[in-house]
Amino acid sequence: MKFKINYSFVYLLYIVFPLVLISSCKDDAVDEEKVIVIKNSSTAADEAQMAFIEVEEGYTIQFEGGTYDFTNTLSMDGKTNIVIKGAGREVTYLDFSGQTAGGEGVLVTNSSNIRFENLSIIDATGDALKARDCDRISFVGVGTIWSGTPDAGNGAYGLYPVLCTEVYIDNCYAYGASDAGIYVGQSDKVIVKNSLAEGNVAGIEIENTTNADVFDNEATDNTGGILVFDLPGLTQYGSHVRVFNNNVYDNNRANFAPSGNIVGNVPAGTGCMILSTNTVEIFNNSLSENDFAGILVASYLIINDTPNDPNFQPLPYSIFIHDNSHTMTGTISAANQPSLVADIINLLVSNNLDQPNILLDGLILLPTAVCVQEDAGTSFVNMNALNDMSFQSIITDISVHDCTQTPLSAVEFDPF
Amino acid sequence: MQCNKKEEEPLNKVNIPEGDGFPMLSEYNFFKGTLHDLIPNEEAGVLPYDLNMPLFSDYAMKQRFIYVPDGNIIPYEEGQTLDLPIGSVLIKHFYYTSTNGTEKYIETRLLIHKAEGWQAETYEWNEEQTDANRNIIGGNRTISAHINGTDQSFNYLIPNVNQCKNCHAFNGKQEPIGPVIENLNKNFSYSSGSANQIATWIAMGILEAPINPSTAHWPSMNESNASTEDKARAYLAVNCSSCHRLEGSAANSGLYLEYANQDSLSLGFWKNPVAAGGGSGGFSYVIKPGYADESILLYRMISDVVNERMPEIGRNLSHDEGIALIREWIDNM
Repeated sequence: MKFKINYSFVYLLYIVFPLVLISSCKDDAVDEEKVIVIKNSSTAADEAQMAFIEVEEGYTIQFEGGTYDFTNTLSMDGKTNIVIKGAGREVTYLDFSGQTAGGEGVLVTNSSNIRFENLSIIDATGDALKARDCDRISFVGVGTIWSGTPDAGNGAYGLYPVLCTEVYIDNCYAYGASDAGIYVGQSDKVIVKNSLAEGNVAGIEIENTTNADVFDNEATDNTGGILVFDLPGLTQYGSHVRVFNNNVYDNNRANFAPSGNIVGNVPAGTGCMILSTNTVEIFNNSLSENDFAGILVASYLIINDTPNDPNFQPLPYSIFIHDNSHTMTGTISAANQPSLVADIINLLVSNNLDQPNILLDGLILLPTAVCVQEDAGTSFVNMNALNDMSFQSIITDISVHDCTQTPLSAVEFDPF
Repeated sequence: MQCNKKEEEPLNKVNIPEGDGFPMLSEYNFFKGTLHDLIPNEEAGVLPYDLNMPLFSDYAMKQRFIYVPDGNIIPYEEGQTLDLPIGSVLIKHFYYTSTNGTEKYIETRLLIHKAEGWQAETYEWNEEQTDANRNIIGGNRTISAHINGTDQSFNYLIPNVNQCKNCHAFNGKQEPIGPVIENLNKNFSYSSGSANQIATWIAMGILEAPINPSTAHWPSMNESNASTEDKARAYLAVNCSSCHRLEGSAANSGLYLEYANQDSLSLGFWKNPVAAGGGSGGFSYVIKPGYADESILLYRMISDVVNERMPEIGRNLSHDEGIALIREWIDNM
């Protein structure tokens, strides 16, 4: 049965049919028989927007295979129990290359129990898929892509949940973001797993977020692989983040973030980076051929010495780095690096030091703020900026960091 | 007998739909006579009003009307959006002067206060300009208009209901933005003559009479005896703070531009961008005091790139007068 939907109709026609073949992975919330199909036609963008506005609780909005062209943000607000799905991450493309309005490709706000799955968003003018103020939101098999060679003209964030709770990101793909491919900000209870981030400035970034587990991901060919940041002046600060069992390799791409953005300070060649946050555990990761540093621990003060936020704690603490494997055989050039990073590279060279597996800027109150339990032979440099902001008293002795922190507990919630 | 007469002539009252908005604007009975004349149905309680500092919307000209149901009164509260009674409607009409000199009506937006919350409805005027049709999904329209002495053609966005709420959001719920005592405190040319709007509303019985009324008002753009600082803060409050506040859609930015905010970091002074992307314009601070042209705030007001420009929705043209004001404010810090 086929309907030709006239998009000028005020009311959307729901096409409802029983799904026989799709096995249910969630039976508690979504009635699998309630499906709105968005057929791939010249009026699909309007039909999709209408469906996003009028969809009722418990429905699935299903995109067919193919490329859907949008000129405006596709947005949803105030919904509950909705699945938005395509026919496959490399089968269904929501294409925003012709976008003339809106700051993001897809936007979902003030909603709960939302799942995006099996589709890709390409060439969004701004952020690809933003979810703000959502509770229990999942992204499974979702791609965010800026086609072509990554450059500063690409949107900032790929997957972009912010001010959300119970965020579940599984089997997703992010390419070409001029800030972070997979970004979770100002959120609580987060799982990012089984995903691939490549060709972004930051592959995966957890910012001002509490209780996040980032594991079994691949981050490669980014400027920095996996970032855990806290910035001043936002709605909340982060803590309790675990980064483990990830494969973080060859993140040496020249930083292409539009200048002025904090992420523009990330050195090309960074595996994992911790900035001004606390209670973070980085373990069992494979960190290879990230030519600046496998793990970098730094303070926001190195970028901006006046955060102007009295409640912000810029010096990282309760950082526990252990049982990671490190491989570094390449070299990094000071060319095309942020100036501070170039200074560090040149200083290491002049001190006859190789780029280390673990690099600290040294803006920590006590050595035990960062505990390290890695294989013997793990190379280490502390730029010791706390004593000398011009880095003239570099420390290479890792033994003062020979301490442990209480392992963090797993993030647990029932994802939608 | 009076009751006989009543049956012959239906009561002249505003019609409020139970659920979704009516298909046509005319069905609300907001206006009397020919709809195109937009003569408010004052007998039914529709009153025109104006603001000192209006939101810039691509140089669209606007007419505003308020309807408060008979017997209801707005509590007097300064410094915040007025809490309009259930059943109230705010009506905002958008139009341009066409390149041939005639007025071209684009859309009329409604905010209807239902018991379950505020409901946004948008009506797009038909080609004949006789009535306007309900439009849920909005869309881009090419507008040719005579603006600031020149003919311009540009892309105008009629917002969909979600985009209405993107700006009209307060803690996730839809709320009005404009009706603030300080912004309403001005004279208006009523059919009966010029009078202060606040005094008029109080006299009409739709606004509570305050015990200690403030004389505070937000300045208009061309108010000669207002300070640049005051004008700039009012401009930012009206044009930015509906999103850029803790309760708004841009809460995650940490940039809060309400009129009353005195915290320098959240006002943008020496504040690094959080999620600006290309919107940084290559600059490091939202406001770099003394350097307007190195301030992201001004850059994003000037930019016409879709993912850089601010406000994010509803601005395709840049606002020369607003840019001049903010530039003067920042440069003189």
